[in-house]
Amino acid sequence: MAAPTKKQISSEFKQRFSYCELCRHSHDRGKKHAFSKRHREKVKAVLGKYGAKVKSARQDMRDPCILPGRYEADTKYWCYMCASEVHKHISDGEVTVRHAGFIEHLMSHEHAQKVDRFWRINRIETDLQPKFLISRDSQDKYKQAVEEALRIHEAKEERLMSQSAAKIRRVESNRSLLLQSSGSSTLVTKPSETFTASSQGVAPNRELAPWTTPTAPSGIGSAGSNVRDPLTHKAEDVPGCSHQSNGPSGEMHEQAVLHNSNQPDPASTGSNQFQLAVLNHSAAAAQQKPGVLSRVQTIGVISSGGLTAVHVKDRGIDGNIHTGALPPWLRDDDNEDTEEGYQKMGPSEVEFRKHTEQQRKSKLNPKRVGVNFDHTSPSNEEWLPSFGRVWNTGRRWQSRHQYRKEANQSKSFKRRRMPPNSTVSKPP
Amino acid sequence: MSFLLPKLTSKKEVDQVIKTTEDLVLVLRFGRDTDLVCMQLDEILSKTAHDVSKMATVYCVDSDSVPVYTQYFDIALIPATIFFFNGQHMKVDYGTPDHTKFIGSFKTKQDFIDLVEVIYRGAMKGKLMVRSPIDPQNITQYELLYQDI
Repeated sequence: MAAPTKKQISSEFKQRFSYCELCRHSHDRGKKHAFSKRHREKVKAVLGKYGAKVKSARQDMRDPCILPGRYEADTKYWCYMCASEVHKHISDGEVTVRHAGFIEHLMSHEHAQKVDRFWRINRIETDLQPKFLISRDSQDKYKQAVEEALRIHEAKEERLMSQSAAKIRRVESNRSLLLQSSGSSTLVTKPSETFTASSQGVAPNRELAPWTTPTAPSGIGSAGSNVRDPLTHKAEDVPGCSHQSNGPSGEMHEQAVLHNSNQPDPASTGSNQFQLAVLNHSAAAAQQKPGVLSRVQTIGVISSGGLTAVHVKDRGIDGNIHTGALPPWLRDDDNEDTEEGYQKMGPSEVEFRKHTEQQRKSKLNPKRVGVNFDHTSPSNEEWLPSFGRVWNTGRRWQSRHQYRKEANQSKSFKRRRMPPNSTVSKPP
Repeated sequence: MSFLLPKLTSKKEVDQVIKTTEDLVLVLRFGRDTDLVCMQLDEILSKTAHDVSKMATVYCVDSDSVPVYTQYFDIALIPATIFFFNGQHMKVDYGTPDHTKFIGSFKTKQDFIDLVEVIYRGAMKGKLMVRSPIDPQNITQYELLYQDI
């Protein structure tokens, strides 16, 4: 028979071979292919992955989660049964309902049909089917739950908004009051309820009284002894909160009192330092509440803007940069007379050299010849080095001794030879 | 060439040199500057003095000016070279009867350098007596006589 033509081949091919979507290859096994090992593994994998997605979606069904903004915008899931992409969440721009898109797809009728078909084609156990489907009543329940969740979410948002709005309004009013008071150069008491209402709930008891005492704008240089008192308290590091007790003189009873909340609102910490109130009390200071004293601000602190003021006592140096005095780095040190002995730090050159020598020596063999030889001890005329002589009888260290003996012997020998009174020049 | 090497003229100087040389071989040449063999030795010493400077220092001593040491070291033949290390006298076996000093001159500069190195190494290891690396043919052979006789 003649070889089959191309057309014939392709049609035969088509009749015999079929394409499996999951495995993504053609086979001529027909329906048996569904039971092949490879196909079953694929099916298992697909069911596992898809099952996990469905499971998380189910959790969200029970308890719908509303998230602000556009959460995971345009994320899509691939549905194996329907062979199509499905939106994961649903969002309207402001809020997102998690997994809503996916759940909706799962609830649809077409999906159910497709699931059925998938089960049939791939010969999967029917027991597993309900996991991937959503029953009618759960659908209804879900719809109600979503509505409820949205409502709750909206309410919460409203509440938060109103709170922040109130806060902003409060801050604004404070600011405006402050500006008013500073503009007119009279310090006006501020009702502290705006600060303490939320934290302490103390009722205000301020008196509005203009402070007309003619103090200098900077509290530091102002005359009046009792203004000095605040200066001594400046060392406290609590900014904006220092207590000034009553001055000794009774005339100028300035009691700068600030009612400042110790636990300021986080939103208004910046403006705390500008809060000030001055009470011009009479001698009867008992009118002050006990709690107020701890939150008193002195004039000096007010003028310094609530910062810690540093007051250095005089060091005997006249003038400063403005008067053109000698700068400290060009002046003689005050410590010179006290540190006479040790102006220089570190070892002197001699010590350093000795140290380097020491280091070098320590690396040499400790068993070398003459380690213990004392190089520096002074020697007298009689000193002789350790020398094992040529014709000595004993040990090396005895050679010196022997030499001395010999020398003495020869000397005495020579003396004996010479007559005692003659003057003979000694041989060189 | 002895004018190129430092000279020691009195016992005190010699004492000082022996005492102050630290961790270096001290080479003392006893002899006369005008003697022929001494001059040959001096030439070798002066030429190699720099090369062995890390191991040794070389001095020339006129044997006539330090009679104490001439007697103490039993110097009879010149030139006589004596080696010290840290104030300790180093004995070397040259293949001659006298181990305490080196009599005569060296044949080559390398001989001297080798000898110094051997002494230095031995001293660093703690040996007071070492064996000379010089070929005995290159060393002056002499007879050691007991002087008094």
